[in-house]
Amino acid sequence: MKSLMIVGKGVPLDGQNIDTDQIIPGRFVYAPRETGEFGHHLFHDQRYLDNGETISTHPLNDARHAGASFLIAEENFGAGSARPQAVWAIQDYGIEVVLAVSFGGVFRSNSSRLDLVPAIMKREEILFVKAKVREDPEVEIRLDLRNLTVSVDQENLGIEMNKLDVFRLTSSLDDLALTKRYGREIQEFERDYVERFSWASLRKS
Amino acid sequence: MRGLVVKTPATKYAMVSHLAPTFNRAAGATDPEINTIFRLLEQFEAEYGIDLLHYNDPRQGIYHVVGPEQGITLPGLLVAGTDSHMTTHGGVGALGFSVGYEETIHILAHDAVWSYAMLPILIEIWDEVPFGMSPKDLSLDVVRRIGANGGLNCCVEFAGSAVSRLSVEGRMTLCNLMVEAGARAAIVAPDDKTMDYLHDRPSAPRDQDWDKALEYWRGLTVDSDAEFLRRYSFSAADLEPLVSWGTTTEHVIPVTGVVPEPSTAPTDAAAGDWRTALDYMGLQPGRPIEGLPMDQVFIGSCTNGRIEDLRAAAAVLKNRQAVIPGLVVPGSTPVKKQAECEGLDRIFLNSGLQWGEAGCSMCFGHHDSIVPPGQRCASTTNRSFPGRQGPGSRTHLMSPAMAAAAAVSGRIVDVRKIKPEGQA
Repeated sequence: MKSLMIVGKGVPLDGQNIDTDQIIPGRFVYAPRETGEFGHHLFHDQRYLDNGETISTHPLNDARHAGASFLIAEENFGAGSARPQAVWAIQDYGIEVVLAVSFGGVFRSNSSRLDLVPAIMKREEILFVKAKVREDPEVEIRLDLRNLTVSVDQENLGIEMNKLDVFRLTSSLDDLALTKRYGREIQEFERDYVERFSWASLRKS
Repeated sequence: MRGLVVKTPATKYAMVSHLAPTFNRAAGATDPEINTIFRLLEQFEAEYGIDLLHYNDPRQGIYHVVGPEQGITLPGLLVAGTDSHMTTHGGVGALGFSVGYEETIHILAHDAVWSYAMLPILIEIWDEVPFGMSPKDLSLDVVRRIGANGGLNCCVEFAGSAVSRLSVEGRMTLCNLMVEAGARAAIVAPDDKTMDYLHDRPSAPRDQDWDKALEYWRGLTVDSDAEFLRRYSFSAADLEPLVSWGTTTEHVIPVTGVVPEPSTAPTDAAAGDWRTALDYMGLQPGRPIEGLPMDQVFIGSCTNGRIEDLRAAAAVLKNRQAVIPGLVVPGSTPVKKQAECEGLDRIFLNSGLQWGEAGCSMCFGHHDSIVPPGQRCASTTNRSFPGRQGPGSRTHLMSPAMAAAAAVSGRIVDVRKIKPEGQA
């Protein structure tokens, strides 16, 4: 569960259509979260040389952005594979919020369920926030989940978020608990459905 | 599973796709990490009564091949799975969509999930895919036209004569790549071909249930009064074999084309991405894509691992020698058996390619099959993302026939220049 106000530094990331294979390469995803060093492997192939040495020019290795809570991305961030480990890697690195122009569908639905905030902003505003962070890496970014705003350097910018995402992130109820409230409706639907769609109950081969 | 029970195990399957060993399957998984996952799946099957199609099950394969093949995926059903290429299931008229672990647990417990409504897009494709071109070329063309985020949060509905003329397997290939345009789902309305394809499949309905199902399926069409977010309409008549040059599936050009110049990109942001992609791929703008040397070939995956794909590749490889290493991996064990009945395995092996066991294999750069750094792979898969087939790997996406042509030439060539069945 997230607090309604998240405050922290940002780290800018350029490029559209950044896919989850880049966020966490396939070869690292099968470890359990506790032992997987997912934060270390975040953008692994762009952050480390073959010998394991760190590439200092990558923004996620830049000491000025160390401790950032906001990742600032562009269009279709988290495209591609459905792997929830992409969300783990971002969180285990220390990020709480991703600001982007748009998100890959499964990445977005994984995020809100795993307590990472996916907030959508207009392209000009993303570029504005990135410029501010590059100018002064210590600049404070504040996300207000009640009013759906991001403020940086006295500029107040709107964000777009799905209502269910906001509810999920800020309520103590998870989806399972929420569904229980609709138990009767589901039961009624099923009674009718099974009768009409007898062919849809799969045969086991 | 957090103390929950599986509500209806009969409608749930666990399938070993990504982790199925490509070689030496009798030895099982040699990687301890994978073995741990296999033990968990076996426990899961025992505890919850969910059918496990393990790596050694005769029905085993990639979910998106197995679902329709077994008649598990049926028109009109909502089918959720933990893999982004669930869009493939739309090829038989099911709404297939991918889910994360949290949603999966919810579906197992409730047969329901909270989801965003998908926004409908209509894509009508007219005329006919020209002879020698494949559904893969058509699907790459659609992604190129609408862009890597052109279907974001959407369900793509396909219609038009070119789509009707596709085989059911071809429609699966078409729907498969729509996730590369960001779509959550893609769908083709079921028709007689779909019914013929599904009839007598092991898990398909039978007798009275089959009749009832048919009646329902025949009503599943694109609604005449449907409102779409966007509509596209184009002809397949001018389609050429397509090849990817970059690192997203929209970075695609005809085999007759040249590597594009970033200054011609539609936006400044795209120009920057093109430069990054060209740098990763080690390509210069202006270079013809035809003639580009390849280091290896991969034929398979949920995009192109079905029998028609293997036949198309074999038609080019018959009586020819591959001059670069290559691997052919069927999408399922039944596809493998069928290919062996038809003698396709002999064609692949005689040409010098390897013939693997069914699964995702080299598509996603894990465990036993990876492309080494800096090497180019002519691949029938779906993603040329940086590092997708292994760290530093360079993937060039194309059709099975084009990949086979690359195998015998050692470079990208226009398959239309190669005569069938080894004629000189």
